Amino acid sequence: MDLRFGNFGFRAMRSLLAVSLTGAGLALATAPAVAQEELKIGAIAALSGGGTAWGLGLQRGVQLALDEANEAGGLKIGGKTYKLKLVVFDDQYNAAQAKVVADRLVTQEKAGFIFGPVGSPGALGSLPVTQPAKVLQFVEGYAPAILKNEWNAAYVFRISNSNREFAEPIVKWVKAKMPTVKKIGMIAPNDATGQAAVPILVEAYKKQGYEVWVDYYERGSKEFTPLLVRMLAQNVDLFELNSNAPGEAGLLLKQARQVGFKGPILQSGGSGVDEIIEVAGPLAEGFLKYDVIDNSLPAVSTLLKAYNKKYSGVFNGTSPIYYNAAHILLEAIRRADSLDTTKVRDELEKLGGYNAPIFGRVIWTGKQEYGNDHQLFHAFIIKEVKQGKGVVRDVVSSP
Amino acid sequence: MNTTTVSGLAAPRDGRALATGWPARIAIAGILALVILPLLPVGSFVLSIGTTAFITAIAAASLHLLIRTGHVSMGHAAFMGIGAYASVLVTMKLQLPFAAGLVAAFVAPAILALLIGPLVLRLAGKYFVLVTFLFGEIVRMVFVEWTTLTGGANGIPGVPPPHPRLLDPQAYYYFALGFAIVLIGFIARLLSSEIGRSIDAIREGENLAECSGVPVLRVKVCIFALSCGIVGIAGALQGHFIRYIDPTSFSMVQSLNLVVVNVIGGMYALVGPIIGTAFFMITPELLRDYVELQRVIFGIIIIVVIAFFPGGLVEIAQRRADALRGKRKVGP
Repeated sequence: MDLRFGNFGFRAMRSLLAVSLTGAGLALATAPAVAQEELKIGAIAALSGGGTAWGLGLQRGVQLALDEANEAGGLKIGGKTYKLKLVVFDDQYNAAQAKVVADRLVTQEKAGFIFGPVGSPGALGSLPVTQPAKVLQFVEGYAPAILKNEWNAAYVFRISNSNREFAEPIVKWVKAKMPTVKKIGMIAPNDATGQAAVPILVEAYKKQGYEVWVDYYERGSKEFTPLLVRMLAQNVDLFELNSNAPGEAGLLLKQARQVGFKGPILQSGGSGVDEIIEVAGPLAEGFLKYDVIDNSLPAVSTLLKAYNKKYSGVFNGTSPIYYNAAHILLEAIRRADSLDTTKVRDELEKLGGYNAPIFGRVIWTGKQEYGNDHQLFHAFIIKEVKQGKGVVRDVVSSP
Repeated sequence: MNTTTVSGLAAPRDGRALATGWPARIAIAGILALVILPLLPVGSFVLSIGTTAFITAIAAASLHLLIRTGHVSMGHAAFMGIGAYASVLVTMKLQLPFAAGLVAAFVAPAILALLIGPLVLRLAGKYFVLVTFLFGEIVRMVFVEWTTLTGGANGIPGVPPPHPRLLDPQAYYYFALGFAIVLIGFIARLLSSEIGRSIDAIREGENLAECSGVPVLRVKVCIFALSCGIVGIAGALQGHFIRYIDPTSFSMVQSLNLVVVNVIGGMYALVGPIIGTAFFMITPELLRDYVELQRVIFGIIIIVVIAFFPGGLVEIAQRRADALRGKRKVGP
C-alpha cells in the first residue's frame, strides 16, 4: 500500500512538474516587454480572534489606497514605476505572533513599510523588529510606549488620535452642551484598551469637576444588567461608553435603556457607529458617539463607494484611518523620490500641510507627551443617532 | 491508558538505551542540523521561528512531564507567565542580572506549584482540567489587575535581552537551543530513570503504585513543581526574546496550544511534544499566504491528524517500525 501511494505520489509530482514547466513557459512567452517592478507594502492585521473586524478594516483600507495608486499607473520613484502589492499576515491580536509576522515581513518579504497592527500588544511586540531594521511602521493602539520607547519611535507613527488627544476636548464639549450633568458612569473592558483609555478619560472628567464612577468587565461578556443596575444605584447623569468595542458598546447601550437609564449616553472613543446601531436597534436613538469620519463628505463617500464595490460587510471605522495613512505614506515616498526609509521618514515629518483624503491637513504632534512628533492629530466629530442613522452633531476640535 | 510503544521512543526503560540506541542517534543528528542551520543563508525570520520553536518545545515538554503522571493541565501557560513576569521584574525593577531572573523564573512558579499541588493533584481527569483552567484564569486576572507591578493589560515593554549580544537573532537562536537541549535532555533522563518508572506506574494505576510503595502524591507534587519551574524558564526566555510581556501571551489559548502540541505529537512519548512543536510552528508558516483562511485550514489539518493518528504523529513512526518488523519476519 505504501508502495502504491509512493507511485501515485511520484506520478503526481511528475504531472505537477510538467504543468508547472508548461505554465512557466507560457508565462515567459506572454510577459510584457517592459514589466513594472513590484513594491511590497506589509500589513500586520488581526484576521482571526477578537480583533478580526479591526484587522479586516486595516487590510481593506490600505488595499483601497494601493488600488488607486496602481490604477493611476503605479508609483514613480527614481525613474522607475512600481506596482504596489499588499502583503498581509495575521497576528491573531497577539504580541508573540506580531513579532513573528514582523520578522517575516522584514526579512523574507523585504517590506520597508508596514501598516498595523491595530492594538497595543501587537504594536509593542513588533517594534523590537521594525525599529532596529529601520522599517517604517504605521500603527494604532493607545499604549504610550508605542511612541515613548528606547528607539524614540524613530520609525513608527501613530495614525489616529489616541485618547490623549481627544479626551479633554470631548469633556469640554460635554461641559458646554450638557450643563446639568454632574456625575459620570463608565463601564469598561478589563484589558489593554480599557486600562489605557479609562484613566485618561477619568482624569479629563475630574479636571473639569465631574464625579466619576467606574466598573470593569471581562472582554467577551454579553450580559451587563448587574453592572448597569449597580451604575443606576450610583445616580449617574451621563453613561460614558469610553473605548468599548462596537459589539459590547451596542449591548451596553441597549441594556442600559432596558434597565431604565434615561440620561444621555456618550461614547468618547472606539469606532463604528453603524455596528452599534445594528446591535442596539431602536434603543440607539439619541446615542452620542465620537467618530473620526463624516460619511457625507465627498472624499469619504467616494471611499465608501469603492469599499462597497470591492467588499461586502459593514464599513469598519479603521478602514478610513488606514486608507488615509496609506495616502500619507505614498505622498512621502513621492516627495522623497526614494524607497530609503530614513529619507521617507524625514519627508513624513515635513509633510505638515499635505491634504490627506480623509482627515485633511496633516498635523504631527506629540513632542510634549512622547518626545517626538509622530502622532497624527486630526479633526473629530460627535455623531448623534437620529432615526437609526448617525448624523454629525458637532465638530469638537479641528486642526 | 496504554503507553505508546514506539521502539526506543516511548519511555525508554533503560538510561543506557536512551544514550546509545537509534533515538539517540536521531536526536544527535537533529541537534547537529539545528546547530548548522544558522550557518546557512536562511535569514533572521527562520532563526526567529526556530527560537520560538525551542521555547515552545521546552514548554510543551514540561507539560509532557506532568501529562506522564496522568494529569492534563489547562493552566500551564499561567505558570509560564509567572516565570516570565518574575524574570522581567527581577531584571528590570531590581536591576539584577539575567541569571537571577532565570532563577526567579524557575523558583516562583515551582513554589506556587508546591503550594497548590497537594490540593489540586488529588483531583483526577476532568476535575483537574477544570481546576487548572480556573487557576490559569485567576493568574491571568492577577496579571491584568495588578497594574503597579505587572503593567496591567498593557504589559511591560522594553524588556532587556539577557545580554546585549543576544540582540542578534543568531545568538539568541543558539541560546534558546542550548536551553532546549539541556532541559529536554534532563526531562528525557528523568523519564528513563527510576522516577520515570514511578511516574508511568502512577499513570497506569495509582492504587497499584501506592501499594507497591510509590509515594504517589509526593511524586506527583514534585513532578508538578518541576514541570511548572521548567515552563517558567520557557516564559523567561520568551519575555526576553520578544522584549515585551503582557497577559494575552499567557492566556488559556496558550495553555490549550501546549496541550494540542502534546496531543498532535503524541502524549506518552517525549518525542511527541517535540514533533508536535515542529508541526505547530512550521504548518501555520506554510499556510501564512492564505491569510484569512490560514487558521481555518490549520484547524482542519489538526482535525485530520487527530482523526487518522489518535496516538499523535509519533504513531507514523510506530506504524513504520511495525511494518519493518513484519517485513523482517516474513523475509528470507
